[in-house]
Amino acid sequence: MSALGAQAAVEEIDSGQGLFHPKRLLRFLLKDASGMVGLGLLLLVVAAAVFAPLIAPYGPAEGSFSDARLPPAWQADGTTAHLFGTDQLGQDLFSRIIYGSRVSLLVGFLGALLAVTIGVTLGLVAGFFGGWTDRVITGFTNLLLSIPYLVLVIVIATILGRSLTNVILLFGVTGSPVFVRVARGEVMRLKKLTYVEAAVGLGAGAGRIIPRHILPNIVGPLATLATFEMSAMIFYESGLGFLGLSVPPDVPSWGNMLALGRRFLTTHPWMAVYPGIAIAITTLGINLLGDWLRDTIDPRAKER
Amino acid sequence: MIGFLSKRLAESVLLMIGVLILVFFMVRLTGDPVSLILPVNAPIEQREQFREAMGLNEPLVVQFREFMLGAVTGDLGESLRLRQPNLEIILERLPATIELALGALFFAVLVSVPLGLAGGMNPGSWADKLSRSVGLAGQSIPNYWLGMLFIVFFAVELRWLPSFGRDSFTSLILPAVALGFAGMGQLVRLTRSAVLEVRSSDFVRTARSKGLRRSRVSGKHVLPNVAIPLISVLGIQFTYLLGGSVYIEVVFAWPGLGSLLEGAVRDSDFPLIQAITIFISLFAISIHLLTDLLYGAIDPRLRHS
Repeated sequence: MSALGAQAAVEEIDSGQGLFHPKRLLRFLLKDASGMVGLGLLLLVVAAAVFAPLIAPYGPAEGSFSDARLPPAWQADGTTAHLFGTDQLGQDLFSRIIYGSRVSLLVGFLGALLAVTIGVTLGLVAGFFGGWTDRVITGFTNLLLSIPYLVLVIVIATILGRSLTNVILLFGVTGSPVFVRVARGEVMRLKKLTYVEAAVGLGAGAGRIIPRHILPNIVGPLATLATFEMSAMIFYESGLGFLGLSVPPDVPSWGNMLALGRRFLTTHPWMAVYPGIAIAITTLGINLLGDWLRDTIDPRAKER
Repeated sequence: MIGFLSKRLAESVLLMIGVLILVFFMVRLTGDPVSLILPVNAPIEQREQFREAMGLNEPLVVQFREFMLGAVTGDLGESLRLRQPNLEIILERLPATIELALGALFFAVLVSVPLGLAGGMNPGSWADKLSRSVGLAGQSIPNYWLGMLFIVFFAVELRWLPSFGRDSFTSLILPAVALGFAGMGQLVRLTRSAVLEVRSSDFVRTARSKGLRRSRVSGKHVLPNVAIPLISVLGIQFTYLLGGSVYIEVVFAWPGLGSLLEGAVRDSDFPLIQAITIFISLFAISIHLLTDLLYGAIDPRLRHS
């Protein structure tokens, strides 16, 4: 390939008319029913988190003992004043579920963001430079992946103690190895392609090649993975809360509500049922969106 | 083959040593393990006494040597609460967890393979739609919550099945189904996409065109080729279930490693937490090694990758 041809190829890729043009993505989304449902569900939860004080009829810690353990409105003894009933302190479950969306979304979003940042940085470095750098990073990644995930998460949560920051850090770090793997694999594949070779041949260094030529081409698989990781983190965070290892007990979170609901499971089952529905709706929404994203980025995966 | 075998073996041993080092430092990196174990208001003398008894006053190098030597010879320390060797406690609980994991895997395979096969062979049919929905449900419904729903519905309302413990075969059903639910979702998806890929290959077309019945094509030509990727996933699923059963074991008070870990966390029994982490990790690494070797024996191409 002549130097001039290489230059043209590089410029074409640099122009950024790639797969991720927002307009193109939106056009695809409007055509996909289940993707739209996913987006709708997620927006619903996001709206609940953002506008919690406007939507929730009560504050998250508001309640009186005289209202304790009321069943949902549609059961006998239920009252429309407390749609999903109340817990043992008389706190309104509907309001607490609305406020609880904040913890889940924060942990899912910031945890996934942190995991992507750590994982992709390390993966790019490992895949691009190879050699000892690669061996050290891959070795540590494999090490983290060899400890069964839930056990790892529980042990670290026990050591760190209960706080929102700790939980986000925990998921950010333990969620990063999959991103290291994917980013590293993609870089090693792309590195051999002609256009990257051309860029190297034109004298571009790692500081230009990685952000300009490699990163834009691996955004697809990483974005898909990130959505699934986000729903997994929401699932694991609530589970930790259920074990009493996530955010402090006075913070309204779905996991904490489940932990409480479990104690009253046989007598007041609604205390555990409704927070669980909230978790399922959120993870369903994110997974639908992730499925859609994957099918759009890699149409072969769809195969109807 | 010997090269492949020794390479994988060496990798696994390195990983195991890595896990030991990681766990050793993880517990100590956060500062003083004593502050994690003893209550906040424990008097200074008690702390000092405890530190001495646990060997925490030794230099770190000495502690590390003791820890590694112990681990290699099968001594994983002693539980604070139960005053018993950790390994003994763990081995006592292990069968229950393996039973639960196998039960969950059995349920997952029983539902997902026929469903994925039916869905993949007839894209767009109701079976296909069902298999896609099941895949999505398995992925989205949290297993601890599903377990609680099962208890409310099948144990409290209908009184069909026991809700806790491990007394008879019937007590396995609810926890195994709840635990296997997520794996079922994953396996349905995987079977379906593997079937879709195989059914479009030339040999399936040939089988069809020579007039074989659909059931024979699925059973004799498609299924065996789908089984290969499935088996490798089953190995991974099994190790996942070993560690991933904590939530379910807690919900159903199942006397396995998961509820043991939860109890140890609640009691701040750090030696036991450390021992369980090491044991489960080494167990998982061994199973991965075994499935890899099995795979290398079945498919020679993998030995060179």
